[in-house]
Amino acid sequence: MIEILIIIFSGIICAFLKNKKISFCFFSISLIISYILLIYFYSDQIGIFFSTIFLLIFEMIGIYSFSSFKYYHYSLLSFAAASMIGISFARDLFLIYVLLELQFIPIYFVLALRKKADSLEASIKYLFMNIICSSSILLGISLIYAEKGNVLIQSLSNIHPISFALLICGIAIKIGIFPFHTWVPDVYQTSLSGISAVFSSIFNKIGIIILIRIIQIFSQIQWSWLLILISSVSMTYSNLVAITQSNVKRMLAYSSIANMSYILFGISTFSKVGVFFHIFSHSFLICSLFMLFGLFSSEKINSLKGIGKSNKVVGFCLLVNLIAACSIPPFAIFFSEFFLTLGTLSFNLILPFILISNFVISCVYYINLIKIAFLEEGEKYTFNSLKTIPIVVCTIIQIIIPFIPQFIEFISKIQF
Amino acid sequence: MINVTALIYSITIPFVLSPLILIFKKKKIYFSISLISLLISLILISLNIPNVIQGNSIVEKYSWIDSFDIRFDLLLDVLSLTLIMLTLIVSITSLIYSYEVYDNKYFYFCLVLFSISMVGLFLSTNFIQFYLFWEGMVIPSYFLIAHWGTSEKEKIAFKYFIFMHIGAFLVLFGIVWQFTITNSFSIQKISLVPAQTFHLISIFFFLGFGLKMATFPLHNWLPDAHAEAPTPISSMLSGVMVSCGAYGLLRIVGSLSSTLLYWISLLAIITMYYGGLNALRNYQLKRALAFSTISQMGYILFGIGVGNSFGLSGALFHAFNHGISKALLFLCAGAVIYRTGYHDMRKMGGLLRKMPVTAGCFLVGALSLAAIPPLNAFTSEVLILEGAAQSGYLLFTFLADLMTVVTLAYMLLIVKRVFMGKIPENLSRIREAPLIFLIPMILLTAIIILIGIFPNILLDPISKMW
Repeated sequence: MIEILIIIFSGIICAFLKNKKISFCFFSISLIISYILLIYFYSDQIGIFFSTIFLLIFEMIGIYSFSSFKYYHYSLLSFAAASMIGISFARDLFLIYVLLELQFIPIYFVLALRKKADSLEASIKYLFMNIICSSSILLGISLIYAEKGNVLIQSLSNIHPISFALLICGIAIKIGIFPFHTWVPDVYQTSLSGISAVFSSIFNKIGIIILIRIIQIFSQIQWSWLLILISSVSMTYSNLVAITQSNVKRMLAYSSIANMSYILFGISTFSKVGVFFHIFSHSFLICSLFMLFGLFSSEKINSLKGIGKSNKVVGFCLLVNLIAACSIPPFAIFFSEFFLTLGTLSFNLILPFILISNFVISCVYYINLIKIAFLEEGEKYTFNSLKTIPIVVCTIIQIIIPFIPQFIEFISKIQF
Repeated sequence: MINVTALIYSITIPFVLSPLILIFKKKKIYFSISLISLLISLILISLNIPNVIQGNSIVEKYSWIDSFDIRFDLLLDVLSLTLIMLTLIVSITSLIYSYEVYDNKYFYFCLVLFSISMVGLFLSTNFIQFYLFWEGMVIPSYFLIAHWGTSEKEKIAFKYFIFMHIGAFLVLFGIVWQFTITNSFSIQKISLVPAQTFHLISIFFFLGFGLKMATFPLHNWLPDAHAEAPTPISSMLSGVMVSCGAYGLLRIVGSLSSTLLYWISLLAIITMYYGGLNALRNYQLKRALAFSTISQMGYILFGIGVGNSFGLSGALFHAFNHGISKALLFLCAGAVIYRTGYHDMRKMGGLLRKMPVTAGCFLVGALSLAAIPPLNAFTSEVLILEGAAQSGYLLFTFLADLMTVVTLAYMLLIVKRVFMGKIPENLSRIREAPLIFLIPMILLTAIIILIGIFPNILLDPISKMW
């Protein structure tokens, strides 16, 4: 617990110091210290895997948003980071619940403090959806406690279907998949690009962690078919809606919903390697896409003409990320989608079609972005070089990961 | 000790050199870098020719993700050698041809990446590696069509991309499915799949590869993409890229069931006639040639569908011959369009006297595709027909034979519309195509005549393959 307390403590100090530079230093150093302690003391592979992703993305967002964040952003993000690193190691449903609350309340303030009308609306939506999520998870946990007498994750076998359904509802809101996705596009569109990047890349992975932790329930109850149904509807719906969007952040939000549905699909068909790989590659892909589109003044897709030609480094990163998003090898996202398909195929022969047709649909809107960004003429932009560093790092991670066999071997050894 | 002739360098050296194209600003420098990188690849592959034509195959092993049997092994045998030589010859001639018209270094960068991906594709032994290069072709060619194409280029490039992507995912599905049975991504181990299951898997492979080959119901992308692409790229797309599908089918043909092969032959005949008859009625010069590509792909597919050694050797040989001839035809058509400024053949005529060299080269290419004896495609078409007759597909053989008449008809019709007759008033001051256009055209014409007179140069090694 000391690791989490370090981050929370640094967050409190940041809140009192009211200095952006010191807050940033506290934020990043406390994250690194607590990560080193975690690696040293724990050997839980799932926890290490997720906390590595969280640490990398938080650090990169910290650098990227240095010019747009205020001191309190770092303070609030510290609380969220503490709770997320806690959740990735938690083995107790009640602890998970407490940490979930610790994550969503600071983030509500991050959204609401932007003080724009649509931002406030989105934050209210976020608040209500998350209250429903928390209460349904709490009710589920209480039912499990009444039935079993404890809430440890190991003892979750043979629980009552109602408590499981409540848990799943809560998790689905956290992930933001189809019937519960309504808050996602609004929040992603109206918040700062850095915050949208954190939201789309890691905040929605919290639900995935909880789902992976309680996956043993699927084998006892025939729940996987329900989840497969929900996730297939969700991915098809969001991919189709994404084509019609005119705002790039909203489009990325729908794409993110689709990708979370792929992961849910993978979990419900037990394709282990694909799920972990996709969590990793999608985090970096969507994070760098949000960071990239945050560089430009306009969010309308039609006004992004020729953005790839302004700067060579940004253009290269944009091209790599958009090509990768069309699931073209040799970038990480292709391999993760490939392993997802592979895992799904060993579960059922028909199901991969749903995945594959969705991969093709998602190309439609990404290839449209490639066309607008690279083939048309538009105004030139200049960029803050501090903002391009994390983008380049994210892009390089996506390029080199498939060529590191050790990483894939590590992933294939992780047990649910 | 480093083995300099290793196959891996024929892909990696051009790949490493290609970013240099983007650094320099002078056209001569970046053009020569792109030319040198392709020439290095050609030389490195050519060093292996004496070894390969004796019937040996060269294998190099490199590991990638061994825990999932994803490897980077390279294989050079007669099948891959023939198609690599075709790729590099067509790419280098197209590159030289581009010098006159295109002043953008990104054009040369994409062209080099495009051709190197195809070389990598033909060297692959692993399905994942194969898929990597298969998709690696799509991105550069997308940009080439979308940026330097003509008319509604962006719409057409989008269509091209989506079609290629659907095909790729169909292939990917087949790859993944066979992995669940064999636990291996090696292309050679596909024969281990039980025939009952492979029956179903091979349908996906056929759909994916057939989409690239523009087989009849899946041909829709080809006329647009090949007609509206920039001319050198049209010649690469039509000459080489469509053959990638044939290559994929030739690699797995040993495991295909006889029922599927019968349906492939039937589709091949339909494709032949569809492409040929459309070429007959089309007035757009490059579009007519694109439909002719569909028709010729029908021949290659027919050779594969025949399935015996004559048919397969004929298919491979025809892929080579068609590639060279079609590249030549596109380059000549490009020269005509460059000088006249028209795509429509009704506005042309009588260019024989004004552009004699172009006309001569075009005539050689046209007659070669129509299977006129001393030229190259004659031998390969005879081989395919002989294979078909041996397999007992007598009706199909007759239909395919009849098709050569249609081929001759549309080719001569194009020649007549473009080069014969009276010169329109506004074209009377036209000159011969520039020298830099003529060099690649004459080079390709020489290859056509050489292969036509001495087909054994290629036919001897090819006939040992099956």
